[in-house]
Amino acid sequence: MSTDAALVLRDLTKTYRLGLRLRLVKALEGLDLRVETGAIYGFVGPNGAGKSTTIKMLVGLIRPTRGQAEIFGRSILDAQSRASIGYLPENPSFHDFLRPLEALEYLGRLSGMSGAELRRRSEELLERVGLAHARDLTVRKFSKGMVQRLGLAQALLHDPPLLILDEPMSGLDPIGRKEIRDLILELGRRGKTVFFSTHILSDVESICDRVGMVLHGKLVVEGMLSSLLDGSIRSVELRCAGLPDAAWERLRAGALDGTRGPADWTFSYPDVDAAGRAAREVLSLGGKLIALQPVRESLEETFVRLASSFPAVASRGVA
Amino acid sequence: MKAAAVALNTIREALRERLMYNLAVFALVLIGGSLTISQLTLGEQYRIIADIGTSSSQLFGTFIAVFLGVAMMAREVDRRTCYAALARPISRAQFLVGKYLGLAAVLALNVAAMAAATAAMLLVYRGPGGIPAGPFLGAFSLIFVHLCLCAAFAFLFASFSTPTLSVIFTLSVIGAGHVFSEVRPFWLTTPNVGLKSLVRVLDFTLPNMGLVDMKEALTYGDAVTAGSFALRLGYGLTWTGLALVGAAVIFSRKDVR
Repeated sequence: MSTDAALVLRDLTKTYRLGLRLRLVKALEGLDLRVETGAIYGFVGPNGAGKSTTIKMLVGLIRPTRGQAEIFGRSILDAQSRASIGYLPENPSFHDFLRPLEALEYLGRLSGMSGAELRRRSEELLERVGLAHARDLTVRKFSKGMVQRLGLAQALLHDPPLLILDEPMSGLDPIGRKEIRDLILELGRRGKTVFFSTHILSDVESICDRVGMVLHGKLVVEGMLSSLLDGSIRSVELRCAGLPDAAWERLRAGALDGTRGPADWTFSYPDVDAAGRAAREVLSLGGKLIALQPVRESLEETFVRLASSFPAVASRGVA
Repeated sequence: MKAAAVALNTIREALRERLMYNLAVFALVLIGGSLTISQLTLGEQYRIIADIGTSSSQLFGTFIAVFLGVAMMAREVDRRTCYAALARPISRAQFLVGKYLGLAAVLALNVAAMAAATAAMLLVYRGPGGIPAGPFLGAFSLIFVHLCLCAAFAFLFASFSTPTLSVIFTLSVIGAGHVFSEVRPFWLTTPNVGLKSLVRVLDFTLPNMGLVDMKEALTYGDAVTAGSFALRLGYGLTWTGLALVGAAVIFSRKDVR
């Protein structure tokens, strides 16, 4: 396998035996994936799709039933492969009697760090994730968002070349989410590889280079974000204001949809020509044209479209 | 180094355990009260004080070792605090040994406190020079080894079972080990061939807890030979090592989810 890749997964499979009857459940089936060094890779899928299972195998928390994976050319079964990753678990948890610096120093020692360098790096990261003000509090007194920030700090502590983040925006408010998005983009600019899972597709659209979609334990589609999105214009949205009531029916006639807002009207037209005709009519009637914009398929719609086009996958979750 | 970091964190964790303090205080109160209790007997006061001191230390120490051992292993997984730790370049065996060493250090602290309390009671009763140093050190050293053995079994069972079952399994093995040490001599002299065979099987499958015990040497003032002590120490440490290796093997293969 090439060492140019940060992550290479081949036929990675995980099955569990659950319940008294040891029912066989396939959590992940034959996952092949390659993440190039320096990429920001979004691993998406609904809850229970197999995202966390994949990540837990990569970081050594669970063992693959079949297949193999390598991190910078080193097998995930080798504990040293984890020296080059920073892992943020979904809903991270820390010993609640520790203060944030103590937690970072404990985990830093497990990464082989020590002494003044560990102290300096821990202080620096506390500042960076916005927890410097909480340095005297124990984790017990942290909010969910603060624990998430501490989780991110411990993932970055040893400055790993690969970040594996499981639902990094989980539990954060809009400001916190933006900060994490900005941080991931900054890490990408610094040449770090970021592999993160999410089921919130808007996060992926805004920061990822490549996307892999997993459904019922199988990778259903993978590629550059731009190649997955259907670039064609699905409709054209027109917003206008300052028109007499009589104009409503005339503009609504050629539209797919129309909405009366308190200050403006919004219409959705099937194509650019229809929208163009409507825009000219707005201007000729003395109204104000506020916006005229094409509507393309979102990643969410792409995801739903792809999910529905893989009906066979849905029946393979439980064997 | 990495195991030492885990051990240090485990010591911090254990020192915040209310259950440990409850059990330790109860043992210390009992040891403290041994002076009063001993006055109910005639001429056997020293034995009563020594017996209560060593027995309380072993009994409550065992509870501390088992409950803390199971809780510390189970909690790491249940509360997911081990996720960030195990996702680092540390082997599961290193992590487990680190946790174990941390717990063993706390158990040593407990035994030291209980030994100090017992020594204080014996000093009050007999005055300076009244404590037979060899039997005293031998008895409390083996109590510590006994607790280490209990903790190792707690780790072994907690590596694959639920906390409640792990406590039950551990206490059962330790209890059976004590009963076995009592009945073994009788089973060996019985004409029943089946029982003799059973003894041979149990000799290799169940720790003979009577061998990890020198309490009577202190109670009855028996001489403690270095050979006997080393043999008992070696026996206890061997079983401890075996239980820990088993725990490490199982924990290394366990899916943490």
